[in-house]
Amino acid sequence: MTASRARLLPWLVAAVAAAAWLFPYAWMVLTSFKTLEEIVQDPTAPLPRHLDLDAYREVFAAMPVWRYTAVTAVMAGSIAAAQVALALPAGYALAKLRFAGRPFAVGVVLACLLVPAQATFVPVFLMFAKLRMVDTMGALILPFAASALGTFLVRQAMMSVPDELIEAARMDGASEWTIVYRILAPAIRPTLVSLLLVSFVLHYSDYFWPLVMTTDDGVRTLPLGVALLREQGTGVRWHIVMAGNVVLSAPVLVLFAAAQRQLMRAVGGR
Amino acid sequence: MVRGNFAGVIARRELLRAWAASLALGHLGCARRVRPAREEGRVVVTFWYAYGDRIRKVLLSLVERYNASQTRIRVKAVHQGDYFEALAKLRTAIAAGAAPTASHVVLEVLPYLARAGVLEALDDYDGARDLPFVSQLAQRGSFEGAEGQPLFGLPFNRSTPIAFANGRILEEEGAEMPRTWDELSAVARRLTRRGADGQVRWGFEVPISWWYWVAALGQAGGRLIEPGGGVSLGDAAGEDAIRFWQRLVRVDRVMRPPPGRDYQAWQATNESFLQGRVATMWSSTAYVRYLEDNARFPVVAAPLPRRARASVPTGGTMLVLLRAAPEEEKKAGWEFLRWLCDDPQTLEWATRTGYMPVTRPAVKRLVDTGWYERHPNDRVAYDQLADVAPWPWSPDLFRLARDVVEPRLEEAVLTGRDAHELMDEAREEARAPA
Repeated sequence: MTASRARLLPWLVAAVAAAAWLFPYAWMVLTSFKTLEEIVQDPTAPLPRHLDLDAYREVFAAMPVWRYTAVTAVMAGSIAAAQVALALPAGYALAKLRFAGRPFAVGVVLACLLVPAQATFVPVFLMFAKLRMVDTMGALILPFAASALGTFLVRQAMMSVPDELIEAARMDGASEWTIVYRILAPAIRPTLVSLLLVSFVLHYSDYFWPLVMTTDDGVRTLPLGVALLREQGTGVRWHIVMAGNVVLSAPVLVLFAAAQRQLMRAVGGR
Repeated sequence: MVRGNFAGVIARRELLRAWAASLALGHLGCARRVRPAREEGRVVVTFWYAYGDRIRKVLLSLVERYNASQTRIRVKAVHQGDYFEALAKLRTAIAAGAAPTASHVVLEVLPYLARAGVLEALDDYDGARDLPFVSQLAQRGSFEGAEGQPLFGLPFNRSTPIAFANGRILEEEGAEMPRTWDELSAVARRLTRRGADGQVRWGFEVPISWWYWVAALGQAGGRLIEPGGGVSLGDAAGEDAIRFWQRLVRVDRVMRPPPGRDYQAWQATNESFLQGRVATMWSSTAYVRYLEDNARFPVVAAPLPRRARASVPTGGTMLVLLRAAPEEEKKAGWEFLRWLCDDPQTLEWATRTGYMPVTRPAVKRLVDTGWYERHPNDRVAYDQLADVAPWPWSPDLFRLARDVVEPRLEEAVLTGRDAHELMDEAREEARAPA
């Protein structure tokens, strides 16, 4: 009896944790199927009376969902790809190359993690404005192309790769680029996949920077589109806001479901 | 290198505030475009707005109609987040030389932007002096000390605080809407019900927010800034307003404790009211349609109660032209703004959104067509304009609202901190150089 209880405990803890994480999402989805009247009259009712799809119709009528989704996906995908591509050689240099000032360089990368956003956004914005890049995809992607966090993670992962692997590749005549992208990258694949996914999700859902850098509908992202659905001064229609957030989050959920195995391996270190 | 995970860690409003604050006034107005934007031979007027959902739809339908009504000007309306996000963006765009032609800004920031020299003076534009605005809602009626100022803003989505009651509860309890603070306390006590299951129906609720505090301060006989220019924050009246709320929440326990800050609190208060968990509340006239459409009981509006006097501030936003825009764009922008203020548009805006009609002919039309008879709550809102207390024309007004007072109110009511000590601290911060 005691042994079976001990076996059950981790499942129980996991179930409680999963419920805590899933509850807000489930609430959001269920609320999106309610009418405004249901929400304001009885906000704690768990289920909608009918499966009302009006909120979704309103969302798709209020904004060009597909275009916003494409812009957002291209932006987040480009940032994630650039971060991985640049973090690989940077992490390699910091982990495996011997050069004067390496500890200092590592310190600089770590220090970048501590620089407050308030200190960097204004000069970055003004720089892009001077370059007339406001309202361009470049302004959305370039400031995030190099990631201190990504560089640090890749460096840590590469530290665990034996030097003999690199030496053997060099003896076979491999260039440094080949070593980085063809030999080490597959060796730390779980780290790269998790960096890619975390970066994608972070920038896919970013509201602030696209709001700052876009003043036109041409390069608007989906989180900005969802903001169109909320009216503060005269009353919020929550079911529409919730439907917008379901539309916003669904592609990311699909992506996570598709890459779940890689993620679990990365987290588990296997 | 910008850290990739900042945006998720720090609240966006904090970032925007810091971002906008870091742009010194000296930067503002320094960059301007010379050539107007054109599209298919038409001058493009870029109009930045901060409305979402249904209000956005009403605005966009007006813009569409305007664009279809003539062939010289094309208005491009672009959403820029909520009021405060749009404002932060506006300030930054001005500094970066990417300002739109026109926008709308919250009332309290108008003097600040005017002093910064970023707003176009409108007096000399065709017909600007003759627009028949309701005096309390026009710039000169909304501010005192603005008499010598050029005209910078045209009223658009304007509102005032107002009291709402659940008509069914009033009828069941045989109660009437309070006309004084004392009556408000008594009515709130009478309407508060505590069930055996711990559920409470509160007698009264007000969003703990700058706007409503200013209303209470005015009712207690105070003013934010004295005629000599000194920031008093109402002195004793400002403290009385806080003590009044503290007493209702902490001593009488008839007012629901603050459920959040700023617009969160506004929305939460409305929802409590619609759910029947609150019998009476202070809210905005702009919510009247939302409440009437979603309540399962009669919604009864009433003027705010008085203490030393009756007093309500006005709120909402004013339409502005940006000085940095090219001349041709500004002229085209003016034509659009003026068109928005014509009777049909004013009427449509007011009746479809719940905001107040801003011109006298529009009000007359509503009277003549029986609108106010069919919508008596709108009439209460309009009549209450007689009690409007104008804002001081002070460039510090916005800072007082957002940085000095608003962040302190919730704490004051929740913790019961001494109102005098709290307001002394606020006054000290207000008088310090920005």
